[in-house]
Parts: sequence; structure tokens; C-alpha cells
Amino acid sequence: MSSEPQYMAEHLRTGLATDSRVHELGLDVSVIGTTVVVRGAVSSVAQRDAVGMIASELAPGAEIVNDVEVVPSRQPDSAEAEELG
Amino acid sequence: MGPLRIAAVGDVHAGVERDSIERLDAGFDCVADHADLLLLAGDLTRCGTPEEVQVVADAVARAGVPTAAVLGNHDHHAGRAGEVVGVLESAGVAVLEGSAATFDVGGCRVGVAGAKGFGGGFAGACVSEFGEDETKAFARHATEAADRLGAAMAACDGVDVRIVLLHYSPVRDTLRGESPELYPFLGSYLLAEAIDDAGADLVVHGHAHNGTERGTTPGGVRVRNVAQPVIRRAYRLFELHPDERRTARAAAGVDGS
Repeated sequence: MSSEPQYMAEHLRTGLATDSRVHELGLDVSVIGTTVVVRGAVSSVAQRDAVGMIASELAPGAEIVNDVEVVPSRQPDSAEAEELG
Repeated sequence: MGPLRIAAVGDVHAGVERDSIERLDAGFDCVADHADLLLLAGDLTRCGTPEEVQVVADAVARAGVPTAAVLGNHDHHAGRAGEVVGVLESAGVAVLEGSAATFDVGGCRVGVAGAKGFGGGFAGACVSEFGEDETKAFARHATEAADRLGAAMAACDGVDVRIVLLHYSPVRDTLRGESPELYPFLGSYLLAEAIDDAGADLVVHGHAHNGTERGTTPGGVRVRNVAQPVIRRAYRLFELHPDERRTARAAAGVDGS
């Protein structure tokens, strides 16, 4: 795998999209020097933790900043309903 | 006839781990208190396995609200879409693909026309059926997806309220926030054309996690992106007033469809 940042970022993004522990297409990956930053949203804590593990596997030696959040899923109340007429 | 209350969400991406199960159960716990219908706009699962979709089916069955769903690209990933549909149907979910389901809600006939849809892009920057076989297959699938949506809409002609349920987006509006380079993979203008040809009261879709909630088709039909990363809730609630719509249509000389 190329260590050029722009290639590395896309290889990591593809790895996160295709690894069955995550399978999330919408994550954003930046490589700045020896630091990898992953942002975006997933649907479980296990997925978020797996993002960090996979990034470490694909970019050994890099510092991984896992800024991925678990999407909030609270129930709305009726007052939040959008009136469509 | 009272207001019609719709709950809609896409992209719940259920997995089999405990926190995913608990999250979905908690999210749908009180949906029956808020909504007459629940619409699931695809990507119910992470990889499209029967085990993952069973998590959704169990949560929906416990919720006890009439539910319609379309599949999304994730639900096709494992190549087991037939089994995924079977699990949902066993839980009483109407799974739509080029088809429609009609629900009687307090005397109001609500038609839900559903299809996964597909990419292909939007006017001025969309794929054409030309060149390599792979490109032609991509473009052809987009056309066929729109044709299936048209068939679904025709199948619920004459209802009081017609709602379109998609996974892919029919308009650019709800993609704002996504990289423009991704638009051809996020939706197709052909879907909007099918919607405007037949008419609808509301369109809901998912798929665009970094998009925005609100848009309209060129013909003025309201489109809502209910992907969970966008709405950041268990579901989005909509309230429609069929009596007011019927009166407005009569005044405009338009029939009940």
C-alpha cells in the first residue's frame, strides 16, 4: 500500500467500507503526517470501536484519531412532527 | 378523518451485537403512540444477512405499527435479498419493490409506492446507456428502477394519500452536504420524473448520510431524506391532513389520486 497521504486515505476509506466489522461507506478519512483522522457516523459502539482497530491494522505505526460517533437514535415526541398540510 | 401520522427512517444499519439490538428496540418502543404507519427507507442492515434483518423484524413486530419497507444497497450486499425479504414479510412488513401497499387508516386509504431506486445522476450530469457493457448495465439499472417506481405508483392510483418510499434520492436537494462527485451514486432524476408524472403527497428516502432533510421534485412534491445519520432520531414524524388535501384537490379540479 502506498504511504502517500492521498492514496493512504482512500485505501483506509475503502478498507472501512468493505470490512464486515464496519461496512460503512460514508466515513471521512484524513492523513496528516503520521496521524490518521476518521470522522463520520455509525450505528453501534462495536462498529465505532472496530473503526479504530481496522485503521490501526491498515496503517500500522500511525496515530489513529477515531472521531466517529454513534448516530443518536432517541425517539421524537409528537410535537416534533412536521406538518405537511 | 383525522390527521395521518407517518413515522419514517432509513439507514438503521442493524447489526447482531447487543448494543445494536437494544438501540433499535428502544428507538421503536413507543412508535405506536406517535404514528399510524412506519416506513423503512432501506439499508435496514449492515451486510444484508438474514440474522441482521431479524433484529429489525423483531423490533418492528414488537412496535405493533403497520410497516412498509424497501431494501437498500446494504441489504443486497450478501446476495441474500430474497431471504431478507422473507424475514421481514414473516414479521408482517410489506416489502415493496416496484409494488404498492394500501393501508386503511381511520377510513383514509393510504397508498405507499415503493422501490429501491438507483443512482445514475441528475440532469446535466447523468450516465447514459453508451459505451462499455458495464456502463450500459449501470445506466440500464437506473432506467429500470424508475420504471419499477412508475409501476408502483400506478398500482396505488385512486387512494386518498399517496406516499413514495425509496432508498435512493430522486432529487439533488436532499444531497446537499454530500460530495458532488458522489451524486451519480446517490440518486437519479428519473425517479423524480416518475413521481411527477403520477403525483404524490410525500416522498421519503434514505442513503445520503451526509445530505440534508428537505427538498422538492421539479413538480413540487415534497421530498424528505430520513437517513438516520441526517435526522439523528429513531424516526422522523410527519403529519398529513387528508381532508384538507381532498378539498384543495377538488377546488383545483384534480381527482382523488
